[in-house]
Amino acid sequence: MYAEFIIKKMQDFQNEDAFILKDKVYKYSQVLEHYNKALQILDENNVQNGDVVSLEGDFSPISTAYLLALINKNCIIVPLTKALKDKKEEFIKIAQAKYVIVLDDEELVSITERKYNTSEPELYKSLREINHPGLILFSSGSTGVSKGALHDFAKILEKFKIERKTKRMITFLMFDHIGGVNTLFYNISNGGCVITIRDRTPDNVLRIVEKYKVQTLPVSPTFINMILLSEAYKKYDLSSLETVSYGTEVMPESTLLRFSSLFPNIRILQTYGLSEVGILDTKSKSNDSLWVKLGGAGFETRVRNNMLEIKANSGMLGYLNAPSPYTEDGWFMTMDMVEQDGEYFKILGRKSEIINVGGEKVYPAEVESFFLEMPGVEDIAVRGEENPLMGNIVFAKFKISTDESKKDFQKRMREFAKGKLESYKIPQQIELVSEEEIHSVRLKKDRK
Amino acid sequence: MNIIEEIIYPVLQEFKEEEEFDYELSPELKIFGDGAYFDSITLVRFVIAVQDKISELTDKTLILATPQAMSRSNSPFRTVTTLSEYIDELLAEAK
Repeated sequence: MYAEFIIKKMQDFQNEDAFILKDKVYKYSQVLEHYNKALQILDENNVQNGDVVSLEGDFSPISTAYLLALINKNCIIVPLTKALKDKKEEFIKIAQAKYVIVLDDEELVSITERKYNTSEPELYKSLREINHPGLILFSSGSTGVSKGALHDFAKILEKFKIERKTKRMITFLMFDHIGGVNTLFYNISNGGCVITIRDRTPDNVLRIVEKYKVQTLPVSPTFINMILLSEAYKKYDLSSLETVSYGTEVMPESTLLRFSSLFPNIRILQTYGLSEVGILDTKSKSNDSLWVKLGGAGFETRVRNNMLEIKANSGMLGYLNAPSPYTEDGWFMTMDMVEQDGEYFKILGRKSEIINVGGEKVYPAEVESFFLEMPGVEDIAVRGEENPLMGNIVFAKFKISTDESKKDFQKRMREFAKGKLESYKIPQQIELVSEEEIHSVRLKKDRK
Repeated sequence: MNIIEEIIYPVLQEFKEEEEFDYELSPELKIFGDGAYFDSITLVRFVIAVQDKISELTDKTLILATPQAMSRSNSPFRTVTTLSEYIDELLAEAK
């Protein structure tokens, strides 16, 4: 019953706001009602201790209730969201979920049992032996196949036993993401309120901040750029905001300076977390500084070859379907390039080919293989290009066999990708090149 | 050179056809912000397309989205008019 301490706390906060979803307010008492019902439904469907269960839903009282009920039954949980689309099936198969639970905002849609011909991932044994609940978080792999990181849920929950101040907090991350899991448990174990927003335009987000007196707003640097460019901040009363936290991509110094000069009373906090190790405690040197202290209880850091490595008590047990990313002495290699100054780090970005477009990761290999299927494309080389609006954009050099102009080809390329490739992965900038040129691009890439 | 007619409108027209936006071309048309049609990715693509158009017509390579542009108290990307004034300014500097 590893979530029992949270259930007890929720009983103390029965009349407090727990969630705001689609402009509707839900109390903790409603979460508890859903929780009792969820326990009953799991029993009726014969869900057993240690079973692997996927849970599809948005942040809501009912999804939180099912999550807590599954933790208390020591299940291994695979959180999913609608936004994952066809990735959902891939995740369910990799994890070999025995039960697939689908929720909408208010109620259970379905609970179905699955059977597989292949054997389960070996890692599950270690959790079942100690009778702990598990959590599987997926991250995209460089070859396009997603990697499932298995966590000991009991260890993740440990830090939420320490009481903290309650906040009214907006979240953009869902519980299929380590940041979303962290926000959810921080709130429900302290009687805070989680506010979710479907329409993420700067105007709507800041309208919600004003309406519900939001105290904490997590953003990406790109989103700050969009707030500045849309001038949405001029229209709303943002005086309730105490903290703005940013992560997921490198913050340009100019954006940080501009934002901190506009809002001198808001604490600006850099966050750092990875689905494999969890969320580290951070302390920025100052509001307008990119230097940050990383660590906190249960985390150790070191720098090797200019790259950050982390040792975490609550780190994942391993990947379900990929080799271990730990060093022999148990450190996780983040692949993030850093500068170090005493206790402070400056995060410079990932040492890899991954392109970070406004916080979304793009793997060049995935984009290249997608467009090699396009008629008329003989070869393609993709790389990231710095962009002041979104950090980076996807830049592609194409060798084509047609005599189309760049404009005509670009149009056809976009039509080819529409609905099949996420819009941030479709090259925002292209160049048509000769055979020799594309070969030289490839050679340079291979030498890296 | 008429920046609105020769640079901005043709690009807006292309985006309108390709993305099936239902906006009418006008100097007051909002490009980014409340009531505008573009999301962040579309804005990025639009800015690149405008830059391409400028270099095609003037042989000048301008970068529109710079940290300086973002630090202005009035965003140059609000409307067709503010964008044309901004491009005019950059073209004058590039002479």
